[in-house]
Formats: sequence, structure tokens, C-alpha cells
Amino acid sequence: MTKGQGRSEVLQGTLDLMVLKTLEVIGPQHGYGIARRIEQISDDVFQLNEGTVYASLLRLRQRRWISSSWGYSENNRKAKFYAITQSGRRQLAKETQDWERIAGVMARLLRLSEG
Amino acid sequence: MWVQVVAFVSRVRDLLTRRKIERDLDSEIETHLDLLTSENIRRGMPPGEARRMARVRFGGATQVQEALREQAGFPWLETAIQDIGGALRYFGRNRGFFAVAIVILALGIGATTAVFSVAETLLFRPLPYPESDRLVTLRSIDTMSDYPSTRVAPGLLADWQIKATSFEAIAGYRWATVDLIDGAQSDRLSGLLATPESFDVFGVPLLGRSFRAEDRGAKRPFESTDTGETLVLGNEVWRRRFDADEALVGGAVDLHILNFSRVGPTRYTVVGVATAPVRFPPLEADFQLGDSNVIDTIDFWMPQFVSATQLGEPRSGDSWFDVVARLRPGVTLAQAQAEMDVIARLEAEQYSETNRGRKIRVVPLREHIPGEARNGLLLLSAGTAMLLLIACSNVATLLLARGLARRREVAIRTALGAPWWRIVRQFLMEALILAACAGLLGVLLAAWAINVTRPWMPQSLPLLQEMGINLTVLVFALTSAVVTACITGLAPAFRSARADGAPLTSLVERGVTLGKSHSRLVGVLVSAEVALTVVLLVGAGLLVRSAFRASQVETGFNPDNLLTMTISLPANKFDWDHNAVFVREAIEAVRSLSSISDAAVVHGVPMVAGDFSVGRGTIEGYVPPNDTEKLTYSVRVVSPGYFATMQIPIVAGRSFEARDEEGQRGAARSILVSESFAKRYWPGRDPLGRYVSFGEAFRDWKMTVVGVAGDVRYSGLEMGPTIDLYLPQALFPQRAITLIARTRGDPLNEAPAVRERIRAVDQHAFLADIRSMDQLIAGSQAERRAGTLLVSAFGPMALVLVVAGVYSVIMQAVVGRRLDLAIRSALGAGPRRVVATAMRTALQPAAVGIALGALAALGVTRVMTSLLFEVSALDIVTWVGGGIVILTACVAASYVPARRAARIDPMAALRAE
Repeated sequence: MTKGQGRSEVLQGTLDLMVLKTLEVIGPQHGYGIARRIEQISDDVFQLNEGTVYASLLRLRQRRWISSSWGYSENNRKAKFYAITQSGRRQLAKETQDWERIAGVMARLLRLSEG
Repeated sequence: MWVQVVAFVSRVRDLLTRRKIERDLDSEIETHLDLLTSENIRRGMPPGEARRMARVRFGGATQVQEALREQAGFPWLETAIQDIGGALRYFGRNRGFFAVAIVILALGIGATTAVFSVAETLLFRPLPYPESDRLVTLRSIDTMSDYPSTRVAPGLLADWQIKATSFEAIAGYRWATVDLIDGAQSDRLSGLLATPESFDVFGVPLLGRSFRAEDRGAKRPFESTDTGETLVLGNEVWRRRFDADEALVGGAVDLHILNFSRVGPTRYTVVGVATAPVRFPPLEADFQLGDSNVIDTIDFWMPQFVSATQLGEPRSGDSWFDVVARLRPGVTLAQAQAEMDVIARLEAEQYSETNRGRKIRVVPLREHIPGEARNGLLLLSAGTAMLLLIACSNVATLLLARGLARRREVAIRTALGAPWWRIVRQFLMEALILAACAGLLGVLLAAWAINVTRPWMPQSLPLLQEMGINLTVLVFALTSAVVTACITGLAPAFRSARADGAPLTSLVERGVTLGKSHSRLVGVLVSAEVALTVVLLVGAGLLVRSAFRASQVETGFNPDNLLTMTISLPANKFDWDHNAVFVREAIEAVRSLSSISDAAVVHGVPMVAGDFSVGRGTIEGYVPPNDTEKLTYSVRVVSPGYFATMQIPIVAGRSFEARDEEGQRGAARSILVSESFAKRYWPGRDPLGRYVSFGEAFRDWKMTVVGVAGDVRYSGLEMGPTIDLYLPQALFPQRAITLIARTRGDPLNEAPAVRERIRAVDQHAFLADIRSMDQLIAGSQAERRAGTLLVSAFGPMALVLVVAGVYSVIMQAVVGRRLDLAIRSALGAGPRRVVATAMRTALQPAAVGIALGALAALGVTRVMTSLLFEVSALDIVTWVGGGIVILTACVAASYVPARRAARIDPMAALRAE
């Protein structure tokens, strides 16, 4: 697989966080929708191997952070819709906090070395 | 943590519903791709291109599914299940092989488990007292005499209680019985005369109180310790006889106990009651206790007091206390022993007359079991370990042979990309399943063996009646099964895994001859098996010959058709002399039965350890050669008809007659002595007419020898004849005495009639320990017999395994070298030549094994010497016999398959390749 200019590999472990956040923001959504949304938000910076979204969804479902039910997509295709659960929201809040703290530290550190 | 649990549960659920999940996923992916495709079309791509780009965008759908599959469920578990499935299928196809391997391993594991359960009961299971690991027993050992008892005199106990600092408390106790009579019902309670410290040492939970100084009563005649008229009741008797009445504490009970001052029951104040049943601590067997099976709980405690006034009289003749102490926390056994060594030295100086040469031994209570039993157990454990090893190497050989036949399977799997560890794991899984099945069967075998052998277990080790399969034993069996699996599985697994460097070529070159390293490994296994079997065979042979020798020993009397039982009256129901009257009437009553030809009594149970020994008094004309030599002989009180009933020959003078029973109590005019007595004290002189005196306690009455009786081995067949002095029972009435009746038929069948007759003489009379003389003799050898029975069972078992092992090796060699042998036959090698070639593959390592085994057996049998009886460790019959047996077995086991090899039709064999 070739890497496009300006596109990054998705950081290990961050995909789960992105999926959770997406579900929190846009409500119940199917896998395709989630993948589209993530790519849109990232302005196509992320090169998403879309299949991995499903692995992430399975992981999250096993931890009961999301639930799933069958429904129909816009073009009337049978699709599985995922929604964030209560414990999923709690987990999201926690991970967001962690992420911001780390990002903050990283940012300071990088500025420091530049200056 | 919770998240992991939730995830785990989901995983398990996903695993169970995986079909559905996979279907769902497929349809989800399908939807995704469709959506992506239509999106691409909307952007103006041609449909085919749109679909292709959608696939690219999505990534490898198969890989995603694969990844998902690994996430749903447990991949390692699944491959393990695959391995198990593979193993089961494999065993299903090879049922015969599987069954043989399981039986072989089950024998090994079963034997090991059974023996371990014995060890667990005797050595590992904690004693039923709180913090029992701090309990030690203190034994007093007289190095100057061969007097076997290691019990302690009250004076010594008092001395230790004052001097020793290593212990929280030191308790002395002895076994005793009292009788509880209520109308026609009479109960004999058995309990302890114990010093007050006993309750602390053994941690007895009490309602009420234990003994105090004020419980001390008057000194009784013939007793050098003080007892009071208080007691603590045991839990069970309190429930059974007194309905667990708490008001009994502080109340009184009437008990029949020995009391020389008056006749009738004695009133005892119940100061306490045990709130839980308490087991008897170890008791040294003696003439009173006999081999009574004291695994029961204690019915009562009565106080015994030792005091400083007794310090000056630590006489060994009074040594009746078993002593148990509780170590202070942090004090080691070695420290306690060092302190007691010092105390023993001080005592030897202070009371040199009685204590010179006396030592004190501190033994953890847990380890205080008879020494021979310990040795025997070690031997047994070694024996079973060897058996298990033989079984393992045997099955390993079988698996190796199988591995050879499965080279093609392995080669194909390797070629298809199975990593080496996958193949090792497959083989180990097979071994594990084998071992698990064998373990299960082994535990069943062990449970069966334990039940079958329990009645054979020696009475001297009453704990053994409680052996069984418990959790500890199960864990042990499980462990040995896993170890077994590793031992049997590892070698074949690794051999098979790296068997083929060029896997595909071996698909082509079928049926090659055995690899060198392969046959070397098999050879080592065969040598090991044979060596271990030689050790087992020689060991078992020596034990069997010892048992045979021991059973050939002359007892000194005719043991056929003798019924024995202990009879006694409730203590203090009548005055002391009535015991003699009762005994005489009982003998007459029993004699009048038509099924009884003769009856008599003797004090003490024959063939049971423990004697009433005397170490004082004077023997006419006998001067001890030096002052370290002490007088020792056993006193046996008998009725006049005793020698006739037992058929003990009178070698000089006469037997007792009715007139010998007339006179004052304790003042016998006539006695008999045994031949050994006469030889020891009057060598070369005529014993008739000479006198013996017991000393001051018996007013220096002189008792004249009127006859000499033949020697009897009263202490058991393996002991030398005892040195005996016989007294007439009417002049020395005993509280409990052994009735001996010669029956016309099976002795035990007559027991009910005899009991009825004796109860007719006195309705409250107690009858106990009803046995035939044969049982008593067997009992005296029970430890040897139990050990021999088990060990000698291992010899044949090992032999069977070796035969199977050698047979399988030859079979393997024949299969592996079929081509080779066929070519040889085709080139004109005679059948004899072919047979010889095939046999050599097994007989060479077998010969090495025999040589190594003989060397090992030399060492092992040296350790066994203490267990042998009149058989040398180098007994030529055993060694040669064992050698011939193993050699014959190996030759026979290798000849049969080798013959078959010789009959291979060379053309057929060659064509098959």
C-alpha cells in the first residue's frame, strides 16, 4: 500500500477513541458512516484502512462501551447500527482527559526543544 | 479489572455464537463495500473500477475477518481444542495402543498415589491439635539396657518441668480405664491420667476448668503419683451418657476405679467437660494397653501430679508417662534437644544409680511413629517411584515407536507450514490426554488398593485405618500425572518434530531403516527400565524371603485353634482377690463347653509388644558380672492349666498344680522359669529348687523353681524368645487377663458361646480383643506383611512392564528394519541370523540394564538390611533367581517378535517398498 503525501497512519489505540467520540457526536451510526465521518473530520489526513473500523467496533462492543442493532442505511441496505452506552461515555470522558493531558505535555515538550 | 471480566464474558459468548457473528460481519462488510462502490460511482468511476477501488479502500476483507476471528473467542484455546480433537481422533484410530498405554501409566500412577496416601496419613497430615507443629515428645532412653520402653518416670518429668526452658509446658499422661455401671449396662471408658499441663499442651477446649493443685488427693497404695477425685469428661461420653448436660460441670459421677481401700464405686467431681472431641495422643504400647487401637477420642482425664518430692526417685521401673511438650514459639528442635542433653547429663550425675547412661530424645510428635514403619514407607515410596519411572519410559518407548510410524503425517504437516512447536504441542497434548486418563484410572486403582489393603495395615499404626483419597492425595495424583505426561511426551515430541530436516523427501523414501539416534534413545529407555526392574525384583525377593523365614519361626507353642480374649470385671466391683475367683470360675465355665478342649489364662496378650518386666530382686546364686548389668526378665501370671492348653513343653520338673495356688497373696512357693531364664541365670546348673525373690515390696518372699518350661516368643516371631518367670494367677490376681481356649473347630466361631458363659459368671464382665492366635501372630508381623505385600507386588508389575517394553522395542525394530531384514533374507541370511539381528537390538540395552540394575540394587539392598529377617542383603538365591527371571523375560519378549521378523517374505516386503 502506498502512502499519500501528508497522510498518516492511524496512531495505535487511537482508533477506538475516535470511534467512541464519533458515536457520541453523531449518534447511532453504521460502520461505513463512522469511517466516512472520521475521514471527513481529519480532512483526509488519516489513511484509514476501513476494515480496521470493524475490529475496533468489535473490541468496543466486547467491553460494552457500545451497543449494536440492525437497521437500514440511507440507500435501504440492511446495516448494523452502533450506539455509545453509558459506560462508553464514561470511558470516553476518561480517555479524552488522558489524551489531552498527554497531548499537552507533548506539545510543551516539542515547543521546548524547538525553542 | 471489571472491564476485563466483561470483555472475557463477551469473548466467551462470541465464541459460542461465532457462526452468527461471522455471518453478521460478512453482511456488514458487504453493505460497506456496496456503499463505498455507489459513492465511487457517484464520483464518476465506471462500476468495475468503483468496486475495485472500494475493495482497496477497505483493505483485505479476508484479513479483517481473520483479525476479527482472533478477537472473538480465544485463538490459543481453539488450537488447543484442535490439538485435543486431533489427539482424540488419533487415539480413536489406535484404540488398542491407547488402552495399553493408559493401563501401563495407570498402574504407575495408581501405585504411587496409594503409597502417597499412606505417607500422607502417617507423615504429612497435621495432628488434630492446635498448632501441632510445635508439639514434641520427650523420650527417655536407657543406653545401658535393652529395655525397650522410652517412657518417663514421674521424678524425671518433675525434674524437666523445673529445669527445661525451651517449652511452654510439659505434660505427662498415661492410658487408663474406668468403668461406668448402670443397672445391667456396663461401659468401660478409656482416657488419660494426665498432669494438668496436658490441657495447655494439647489445647483442649473446656467448659469448666482443668485441674488445679487443690485437686490433689491422697497418695494411693502402689502408686507413686498423686491423684485426686476430680475428672474432666470427654465430649462424646458427655453427650452419649449424660445428654450433654451442662449442669454436670461441678456435679459428680460414680465411677468404678481401682481402689484398694474399699469396695464399690468412687464419687468423682466433674470439674470440666471437653467442648469438642479430642483424639488420644500417641501412647507407647504396654502389657495393659496391648495393641489397643487408640484412634478413638478421649472419654475422660483424671489428674496426676508430680512434685519435687519425687525428684529423688526417678526410678526407671516407674516409667509410665508418655511425655509431650509444646515448644516455645521460635525455639528450634535443635535448641530444645541441646538443652535436654544438658539436663540428661546433670541427671546422670545427680541420680547416678538410676540415670547413668540415660539420654533424652526430643522428637516432633508428627515424626513419632515406629522407626520400622518409617523405613518401610521410604522403601515403598522408592519402589513406587521406580515403578512409575518404568511405566513412563515404557510408554515413552511406545510413543517413540508411534512417532516413527507417524513420520509421514509430521512431514506433511511440516510441509504445509506447521511450525515445529505446533507439532511438539500436538504430541505433548496427546501425552497429556494419555496421562489424564491414566491419572483418573490410577486414582480409582489407588482407592481400590487402599480399601483392599486397609485391613492388612498394622494395628500398631492405627492412623492408617484413616488413609484414603483426599484433596492432598488428589493433588499429588494430578501432579504425578502431569509429570508423567512430560516425561513420556517430551522425548517423542521433540524427536518427531525434528525428525525430518527435509520433510518432503521422507515422503518419497518410505520405510527407511531406523535412525541411529532414534535407536540409541530407545536403547537408553530399555536399559533404564530393565535396571529399575532388577532393583525392584531383588528388593522384593529379599523381602519375600524374609517374610517366609519369619513365618517358619517356631513360636514355642501350638498356635492352632486358639481363641484369645481379654476378660475383666468392673474395677472395684468386688475386692481385689475376687479377680482370682472370677478367673477360676470363668475358666471352668468355658471348659465345660463341648467345643472347647482346654482353657487357661495368662497375664498380657501373647505376640503383642510390651511386657511386664522386672528389673529388681535377687536370683539365688546369681551375681551380676558388673554393676552395669541389670536383671531383666518378664513375669507371666498363669493359671495351672496354661502349659497344657498352650502345649508348651515342660522340659524339667513339673507344671503348676492346684496346690500351687494355695497361700497368701503374693507369696508363691512355686514358680516356673523358661529355658532361657535358666540358661541365663544358672548356666550349667540345675535350676530346680533354686529361689527367686522380688525384693522388699514382696517381703523378700523366696519363690522356688519347681519346673522349667520351653521357650516362647511372646514378643512376636521376629524377636528372640523372652526370658520368662511364671507365677500362679490365684496368688497374683490381675485386673484384666487373657483367656486362652483351645477349640475343636474354628476358634472365632466359638467366641459367642464363650462370651455367654463368661457373662453368666458375671453380667458386668468385660470381654475385649477377641482374636484367634493366628490373628495375633499375623498382627505381630503386620508391618512386615503389609510392606512385603506391597513391595512384592511391584516386582511382577515391573516385570510385566519390562516384557511389554522389550516386546515393543523389537516390534519397532522389526517394522523399522523390515526392508533391511528382507534384503538380508533375500541375500541368503538364514532365519536364525535374522532372528539374532533383531533380538540384538533389545538384548544389548537389556544386558546393560541388568548390569546397572545390579549395581544399583547393591546400594539399595544395603539400606534395606534393617527390614530383612535372617536373610543377607547378598542372598545368593534372590540374586541369581532375580537375574534368571529378568534374563528369561527379556529373551522371551524379544524372541517372539524376532521370529515373526524372520518369517517376513522378502519379496512381499521389497515389493511393498
